[in-house]
Amino acid sequence: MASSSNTGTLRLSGDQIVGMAGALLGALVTAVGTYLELRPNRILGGDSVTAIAAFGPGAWALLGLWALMFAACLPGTGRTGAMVRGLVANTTMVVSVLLVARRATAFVAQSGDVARASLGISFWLSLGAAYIVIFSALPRAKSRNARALVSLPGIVMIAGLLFTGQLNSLSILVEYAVNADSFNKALVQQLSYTLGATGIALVIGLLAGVGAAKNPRLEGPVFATLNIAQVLPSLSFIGLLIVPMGWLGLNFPALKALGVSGIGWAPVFVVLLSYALYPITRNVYTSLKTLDESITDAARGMGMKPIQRLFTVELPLAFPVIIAGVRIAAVQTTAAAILAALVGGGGLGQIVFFGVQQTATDLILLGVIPIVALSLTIDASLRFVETLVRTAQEGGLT
Amino acid sequence: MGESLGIRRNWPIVSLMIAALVWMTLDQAGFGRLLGFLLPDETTLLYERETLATLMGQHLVLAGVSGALALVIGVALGLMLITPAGASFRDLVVSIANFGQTFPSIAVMALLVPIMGYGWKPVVVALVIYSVLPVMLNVVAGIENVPPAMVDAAQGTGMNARQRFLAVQLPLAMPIILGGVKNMLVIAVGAATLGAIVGAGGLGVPIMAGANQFKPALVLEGAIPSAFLALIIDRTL
Amino acid sequence: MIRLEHVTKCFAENTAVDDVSLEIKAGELAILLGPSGCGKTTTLRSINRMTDIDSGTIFVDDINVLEQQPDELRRRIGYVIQSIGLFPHLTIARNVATVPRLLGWDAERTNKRVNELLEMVGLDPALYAMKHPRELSGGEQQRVGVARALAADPAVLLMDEPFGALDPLSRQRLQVEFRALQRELGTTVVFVTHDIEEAVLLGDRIALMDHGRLIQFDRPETLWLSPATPFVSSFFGEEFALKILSRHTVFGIALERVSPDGLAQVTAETSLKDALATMVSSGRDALSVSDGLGGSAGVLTFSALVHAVKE
Repeated sequence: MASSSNTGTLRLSGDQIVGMAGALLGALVTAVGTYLELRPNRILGGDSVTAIAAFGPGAWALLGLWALMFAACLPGTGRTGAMVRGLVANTTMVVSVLLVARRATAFVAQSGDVARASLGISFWLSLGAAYIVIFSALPRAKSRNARALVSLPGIVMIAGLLFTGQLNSLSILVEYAVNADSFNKALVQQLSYTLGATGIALVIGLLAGVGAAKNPRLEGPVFATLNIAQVLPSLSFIGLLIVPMGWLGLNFPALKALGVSGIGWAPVFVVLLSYALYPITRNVYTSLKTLDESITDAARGMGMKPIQRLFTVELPLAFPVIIAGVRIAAVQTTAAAILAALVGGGGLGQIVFFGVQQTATDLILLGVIPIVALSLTIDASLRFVETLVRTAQEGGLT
Repeated sequence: MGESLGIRRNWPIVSLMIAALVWMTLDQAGFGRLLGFLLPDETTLLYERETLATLMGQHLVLAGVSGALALVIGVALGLMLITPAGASFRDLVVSIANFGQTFPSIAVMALLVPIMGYGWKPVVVALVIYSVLPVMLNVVAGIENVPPAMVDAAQGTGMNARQRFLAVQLPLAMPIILGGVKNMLVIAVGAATLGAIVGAGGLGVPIMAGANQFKPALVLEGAIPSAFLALIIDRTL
Repeated sequence: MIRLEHVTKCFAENTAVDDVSLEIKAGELAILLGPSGCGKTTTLRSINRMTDIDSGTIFVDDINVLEQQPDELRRRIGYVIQSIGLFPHLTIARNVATVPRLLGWDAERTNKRVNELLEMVGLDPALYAMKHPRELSGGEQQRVGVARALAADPAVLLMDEPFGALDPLSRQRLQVEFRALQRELGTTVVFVTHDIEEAVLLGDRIALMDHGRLIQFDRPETLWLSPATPFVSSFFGEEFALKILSRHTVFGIALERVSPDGLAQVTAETSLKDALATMVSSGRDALSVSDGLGGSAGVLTFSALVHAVKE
């Protein structure tokens, strides 16, 4: 594209600058900083090694890949350059994971079963750098397939390596192996918080949002209440609920049977539900309020009853915006549910706080990474649903 | 956040909340009697190792220092992103910000503990990371929201880029930038509560102590003032 | 057919409709015309109770609409608005089928009706039925809007500046086609516009309104020849005569049997306005009128044209 300016000198475009920055960061963290930490056992400190120290020639190959990505950002490389650097970034991710796994296996074999090989900050930053390069390539990928080709293969292959046990000698997966039972339970709890709170918030949010949009007298109270809930700090909010929830559990046997008490899942669930309610209710409300007036006027003029208008015209048109609200709520809830562990409500936060107590980074990461992965998956799938609905409603690609 | 659907500034109520907060902090014995009245079965009413005034002080320093750092860094980054060179990175920054949304703030504190140790340092770093975003994004949004016609008109009167920025763009962007600062402070004051988890003090300390020892009065001793603090900041700014 | 008796409607301080009474006959195309804010749209919307009036009565088919359930009433009255208001998430077929579905027609009957309607408004069902509104041009969208309003074969059609947002060319085509369609179906139409040309071209009768009051309700020719107030003549202006010419064709005017040699030729269907324009541009005060067989049926003179309109 317009890679040369009218003065005749070659100019860099925005995506190329970003791609170069990513490639430079990748090369930098490959050359310096802790890529791997090799320790004799879980507690003792060990060697913090750079990629070059850890892999030898393998690291030079990585540096070569980063250089290739840099070259694919040079002026005049255009769309081909973008596709090349995107694919090379995916390759680099997979190669660095393979190198790390191989070095870890060798280290554990050599130093005994209690030895630990942990991923260092430079390794994580190199994944970040690869993401930046991929991100810089996306705007130039014109078709949906091209975008998928540039963004997915690395992640998919790493997931494949993970699930086929190729990475099992890494310390984080050793932590998983040791804590598998409590991890699996915590993961299910975390998911239940997200799905439960978001699901119930969707039902209540639809009612409250429709109510506020149709009845101006409800609007003020609904949003004033939700806003207070939104502003309260999460830990304080849980704290404020401990007493009333405890009272409910003591005085209503039915609730007690469900496990409602001052401590445990109940106060956390109410907090998550309140947080999730705001984005959903707000999006239901604003999407109904901002509908094209001519459409609602036409629906009324054809003799649709209010309830028919709501279900056949208004809510379907509002649907993509409502889904966006659900997405925001689900992502917020997934992150906030980490607090449940503080009041005995379980979830992945348990693993995280366990790790904090032992200053065991790998255990903390074992709790944090699934939370982030869960959020990103929810975010991506709901975005996908949103686009699908939008395109279907607007009559295919336009 | 950011939107303010349904918020009406009610000064009498805000003044009452401020007065109540000052009273709790200064007359700790009185606040203890109130907690005792609310929870007649409880014997431990107040956190014994620190006074509420100290905890409040720690809390405000944590939030204040992080907020000030975040303001400076956020404005600087925001201004960099609106320069022609920085504009290339804008989408990337927004994307990283979205990624940051999925990352619980406690997780950042937790991961910093092995590196920086327990105490205020990991908390300030985490608070700054989370508070920079609303400031930076609102600086960008505020400047971009200025109608191009106005910048054009300013250029037409012979203002240079610097004059246009100072006399037209910045003043018109101010409301949005200040909205970001307010959000930032609400986030900082709220997240400072979490500092207690990694030993940084603040109003989270009695909440955590109460939750660990099943003493609801202690939980309320921290939860009530920190909730008031967040609400007051949200309603006054 | 439609009868308004002493209809009054106030919004806060100002009176939108002030004691309006008028009677529209079955099959008639009545225009509500006037400057903006004169109350024409409010009057129209009070007929299907989109706006509820403060006092007065409205009858459609001798039934008092105020005693009817509004939704039931609206399903029997077609409604077309300037911004069209097609449902963007539904196909053209589903849009047109809105009222039949509300009325609980079965699928087969609905489908048949949808195809019939699309053809009626000049859209090929095979091409258009499954499209979405945003894939259509403005003119096509309003054709769908008209089809949707006619779906349940309503006896009455209310139209609020339906062609106001279209470009001049599609606007003109839709006006002509709609007029023919309305004559064929015999639907009673109440049509709001602020465009004098459109009003004169389409209206059987024009109700001229100002400040909420009905000033005069008559055929355009009557409004021109015997205006009730000075406002009427000043509103229509000097060009009114030319606009009236557009309503009439050469057909029916007595032709003179003189030689048509050298005269520009028009047909019997040519409007008098166009005939006059042809005279001016050809620089002669007479035209040859074709007999449809290649010859001339006679000669139309300027004075014949002028007198014909006055009668």
